[in-house]
Amino acid sequence: MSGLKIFVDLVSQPSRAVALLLEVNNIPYNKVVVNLGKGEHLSHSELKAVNPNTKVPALQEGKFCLYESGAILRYICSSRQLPDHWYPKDLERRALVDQYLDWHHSTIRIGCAHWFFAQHIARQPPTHHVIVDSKATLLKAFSILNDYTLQDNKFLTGEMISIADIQAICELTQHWMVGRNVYSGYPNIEKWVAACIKELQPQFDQVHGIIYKIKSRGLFGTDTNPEPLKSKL
Amino acid sequence: MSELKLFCDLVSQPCRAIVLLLEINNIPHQREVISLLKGEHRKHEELLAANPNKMLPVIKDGTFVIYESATILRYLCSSRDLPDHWYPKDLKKRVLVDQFFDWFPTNLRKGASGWFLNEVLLKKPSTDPLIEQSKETLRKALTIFNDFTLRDSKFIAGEEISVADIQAVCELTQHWAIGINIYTGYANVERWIADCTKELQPHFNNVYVEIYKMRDLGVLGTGIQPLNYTPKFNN
Repeated sequence: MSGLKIFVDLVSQPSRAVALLLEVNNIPYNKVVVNLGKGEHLSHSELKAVNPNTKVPALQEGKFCLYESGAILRYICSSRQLPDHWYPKDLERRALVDQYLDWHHSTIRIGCAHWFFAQHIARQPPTHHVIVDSKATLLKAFSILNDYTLQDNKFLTGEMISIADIQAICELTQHWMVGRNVYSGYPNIEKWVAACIKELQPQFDQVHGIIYKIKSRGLFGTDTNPEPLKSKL
Repeated sequence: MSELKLFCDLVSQPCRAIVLLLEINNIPHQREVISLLKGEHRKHEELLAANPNKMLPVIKDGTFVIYESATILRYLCSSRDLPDHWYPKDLKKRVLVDQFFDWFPTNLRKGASGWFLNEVLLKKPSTDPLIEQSKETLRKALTIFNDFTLRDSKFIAGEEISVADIQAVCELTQHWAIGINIYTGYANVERWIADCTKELQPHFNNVYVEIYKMRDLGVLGTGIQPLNYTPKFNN
């Protein structure tokens, strides 16, 4: 197997998902850190050659280049022949993982990421339309996750963890940087978060080290009680 | 093989993609049309039970239910053992299709659909910020698509058409419903659109009947300017 090079920044949710899958499965790889906060991705010629969108995560193996975390997660599962539960060969079980990964883009990802960026990085007021729209998107998405997807399942696609769970959990932990559990008040989601973290330790804490550090130093603000998504009425 | 039922509306880009794949490959299926423009999807009990997002397309394969068009396209390729080029078994070719499916929603789809929804369907003025943002997203996406994705290959994942191409061509031709091409000026994209539609005929025209009708009758309005429209001033 030729050298695997992964371009990441662990402050980025999809970068964490890829790193977590690699770490949990003990897959050797060369980690190239691209600091998004410092804008390194905008002038990183090696990254641009692999991903013309100049985004992380990105993968290079010999001459083969790949970007988009969902594609990378699938590639790692198949090329390294990881245990089947990560991306099952059974058609129906695989389709459920694909369905989550496809649904995730315009629901959980947009909701969590746009809210976080607008409020805590761009520092827009809470009434800004991006924050209002993102929260509305997330409310709808969480209702579906809590009331349907996780109603009878331990994990997103069944009784075993898969790359769908890794992708989702890494998105939801972004708001930990400001001390917010975006999923508070959704019992099935809270239960699933706990199950995922337990299943992914100790690598989960290792990959989230930078998130914990940012939180403890209050780098995105020192509000100890940021407003939740779902208000308890 | 179990009975396949598809919930769709051919006004919708992802629905057309699924129907195209089914038609080209002669896959027998039952089609239940749910009118999005009439809002039928919001009250359709069977659809809600199948997809809590109340969106199309959805398929039922016997008792197995799946939504999300990219997922349905992959599933049909694998479960019906379609010719390999649609979703190649070779891993490095396959993940290029996956890479496109992942990139597509927040780039080409977001740009093209955001523009179509806000200017054509909701009839907001062309200066509305959501329309401006959508067009900007689309310009950036078309630039990547033109300058990188389609630079060295005939189709998205190589020299043969795949489900990635079907997904993309259905999105980029939505504006045909109002008689404009949103990809004009992007030479590789124009070439690729011609190659895709040629490869997908005569089924492409069959699936596009409603879009052509809307265009010819002007039901969604006229006068919307193409993407890189430059006004000409009389001096």
